[in-house]
Amino acid sequence: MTTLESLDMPEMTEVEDDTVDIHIDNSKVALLFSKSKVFVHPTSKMKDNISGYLSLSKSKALGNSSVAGSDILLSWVPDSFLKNRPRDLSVFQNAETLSNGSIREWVEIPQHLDYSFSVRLCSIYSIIFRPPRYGWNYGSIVINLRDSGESLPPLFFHDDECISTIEYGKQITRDRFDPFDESGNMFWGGTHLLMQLKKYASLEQSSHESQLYLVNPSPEDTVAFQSVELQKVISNNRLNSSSTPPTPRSSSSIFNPFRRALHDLSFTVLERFSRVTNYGKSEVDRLMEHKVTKSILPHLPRELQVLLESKRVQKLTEEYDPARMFLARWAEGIVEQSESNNSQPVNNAGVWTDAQREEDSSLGPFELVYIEERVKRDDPLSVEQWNSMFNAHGKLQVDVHRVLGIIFHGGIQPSLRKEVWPFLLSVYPWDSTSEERRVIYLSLQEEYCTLKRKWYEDIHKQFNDRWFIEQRNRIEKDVHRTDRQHEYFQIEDLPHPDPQSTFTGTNMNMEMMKDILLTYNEYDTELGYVQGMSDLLAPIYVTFNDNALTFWGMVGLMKRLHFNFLRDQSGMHRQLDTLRLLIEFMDPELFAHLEKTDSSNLFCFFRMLLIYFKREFDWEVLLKLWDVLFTNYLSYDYHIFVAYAIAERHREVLLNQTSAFDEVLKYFNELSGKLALEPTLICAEQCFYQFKNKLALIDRKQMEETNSDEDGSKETDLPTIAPYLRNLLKTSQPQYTPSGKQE
Amino acid sequence: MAGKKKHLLKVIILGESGVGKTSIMNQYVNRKFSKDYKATIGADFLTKEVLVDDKVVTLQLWDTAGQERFQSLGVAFYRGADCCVLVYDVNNSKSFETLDSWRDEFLIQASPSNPETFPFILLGNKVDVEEQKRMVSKSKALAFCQARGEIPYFETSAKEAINVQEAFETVAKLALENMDSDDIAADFTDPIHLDMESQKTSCYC
Repeated sequence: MTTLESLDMPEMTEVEDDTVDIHIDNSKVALLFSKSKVFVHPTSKMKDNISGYLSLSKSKALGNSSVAGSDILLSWVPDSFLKNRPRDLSVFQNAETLSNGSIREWVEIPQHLDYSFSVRLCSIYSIIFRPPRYGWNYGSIVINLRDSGESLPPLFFHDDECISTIEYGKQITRDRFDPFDESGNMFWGGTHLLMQLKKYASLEQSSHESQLYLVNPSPEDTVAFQSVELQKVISNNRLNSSSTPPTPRSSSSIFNPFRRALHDLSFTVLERFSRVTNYGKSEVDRLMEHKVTKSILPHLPRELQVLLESKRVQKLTEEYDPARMFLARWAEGIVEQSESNNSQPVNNAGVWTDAQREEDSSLGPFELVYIEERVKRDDPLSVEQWNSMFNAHGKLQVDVHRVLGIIFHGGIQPSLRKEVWPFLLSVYPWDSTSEERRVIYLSLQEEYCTLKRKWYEDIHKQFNDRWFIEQRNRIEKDVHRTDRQHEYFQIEDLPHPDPQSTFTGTNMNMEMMKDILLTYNEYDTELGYVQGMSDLLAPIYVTFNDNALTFWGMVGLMKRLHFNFLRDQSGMHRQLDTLRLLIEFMDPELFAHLEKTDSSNLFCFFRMLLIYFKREFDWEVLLKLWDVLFTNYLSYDYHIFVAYAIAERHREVLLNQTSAFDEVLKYFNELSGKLALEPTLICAEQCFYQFKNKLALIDRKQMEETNSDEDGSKETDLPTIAPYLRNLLKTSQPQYTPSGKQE
Repeated sequence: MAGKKKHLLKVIILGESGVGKTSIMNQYVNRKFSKDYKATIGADFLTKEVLVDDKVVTLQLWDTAGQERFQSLGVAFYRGADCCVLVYDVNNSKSFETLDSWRDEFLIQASPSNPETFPFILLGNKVDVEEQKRMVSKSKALAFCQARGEIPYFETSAKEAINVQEAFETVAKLALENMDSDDIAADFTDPIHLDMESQKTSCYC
């Protein structure tokens, strides 16, 4: 059976951050099987495809007979590496074409080369074999590793170019041998590999997903496959939310979205299955209407499919293939995007729903991929967690992005907020030591006192400056009606300092708030104090309980919200415009309804956006929302997604119960204090990923159209993406000129 | 649109920040006063059914933000108004001085078909506050009203529920008269639509 060739094969070891490094293991290996024209598709562009050899080999050194498959390696090396090594190349060629042979030659494998890998069979958990389907030229495999849960880059079998597949295909046709008889698939490269693999490992086909094969499964693996898969997905997800967020550093990590998509797919199938079986028939019917259910039907076990058999179900099942095809294309689109933007891959890349759908909207007809993102909220950042992130000098010793990720997914423990907000509000730099922060604090304290003294000791200003007096009155009035139900501002235990005032009583906190706002009024000469700022200040004041820190925290918050308070309202218009574009882009039906009800000016969102949802949520809940928004973790303008999520979560009522501007406005106003934060945040995150995916898909299709349309004669049906929408993906403040227009 | 529904009378309450617009409205509709009303951000409205000349009408009272910075947002809901209530604080002369600008701004943004005869009403609020703190006299207010076409004037206290019901009875009457006279014109305008168009073009720039 063997062609004995000795190779130095790279051994793959896992290092942190989802990356995979390749190290040489000096043991000798002999090729058992080799297949040419197996490609990695790093992007969707054909020119980027990398051709290589997939091989099975036996290692003497690795042998550990107690573990099945520990001495057999599955490897892939690119052609480019073999190009200048004709001798090595012939080793692979011979192994592919010769059924017998005994040439012994050494070949070299590079220390580190993109995408090449070599893994022992015992470290492979499962392999997904995806045969070629219509419209999708190449079959491919995805190898899932056992311990890490990692997946290797998908390998595509270009069967039409591969000599061994062509030859062997002919042979089995002659012999009328077809291993995929029942499923009716044609012979392809993956089948060839599967047949070879079966010689060296026991492969078990999953009952839930016929394309998934468990490699050398333990009895527990087989029995517990369902629960293992569930746990794996869940723990992966947990890992994602708390571990260092990945930037694509290695070739393999950029394939994460695809891997997760597949993991998630199996998760949903199982989850939905269990749910469906618990429901009664009418419930099942209702579920059938759900777009998530529609897409997973083909995955459901046959028994259930029989139960659910109907014309409609049949039709949906037929639509499944194009849907899956799009999943693949979408996932690769994401990969491409993450490469081009150098942004992080999507952690929660999703489960796939609706098949191609013609969207009847202003967006024009185009195939739309809906991704149901599975998003999970986490525990808040705890004191212990926070403290453990700092070294002895009080300097943060973990990646800032990781901290932000934890806060984004779970908020901050209330008692810790005072410590963390100064960082989030840019009072302290993240890389400062505790000593440096002490110095910063002292200088900020002094600066605040200086600023305050400037108006406080200016008697002329206090009595003659009309603007100052007007602003002081305004602040006075507003502080006396800001969060008076909060214990800090509830009791009036001091007489009002001005006997002429219409207010008779006050308290220390209210007086401090007034001073801070007056100081801010003098400090921000462009805006001064504007109504709404007292609402923004109160949570910072209560959280910090320190005047100087509060003032500078307010300055930090106002850097973010400055545009909201511009005299010409351009900042608010820009945000309402952005939100309008987002709704139109994501939910044309809702948008049409808002237009029909004269509500597309989105005035109903004005208060939410102006004061950052201050009036929409109760105190403690609001603080948690601010924790999340302050991180800029997914988007600097994440509040737009929160606003959109609020609309989405109430869309049924809006669509069915509102018919005019006043009703819509009233409905939104009345939501105040009744909104549940966690579901809203989950929805917002899902919306974000859906938005990002949809944008990527359109961009990709746009590019494809441009490439295929060389003379530029075809007209595109794809929507144009407004710059405001693209800005939603930015995690730092987009640049606008003072008038609010984008530079 | 709300303003055109039969017997729905749209009333806009305007005036400087902190003069008591929200309080007056709540006193009228809910007959209660709270010192804990927050500064109005954006806009909100309350409705109340009243009997005017044996006709049941619904008053829709629009409460707005009082800082002039937010005046430009009025377009979204000024249109289709049947009456405008101007409010000032008798203890705050500035709130009296700015009445004209509120009135002018309203006429520009609401652009009623009858700007000369469009019904306004003036309320001098917070008359419950001790007399020595009062800064705008009744005669000064009456002179203002006279100069602007005999605008009805009421001195009110939302806190003590003084004159509030009376003032709004007049509001309802004026609004109903205005709606009857303005009916034909209103049917041919779709003002919010126009506003939307202008905002739409601005969002692609």
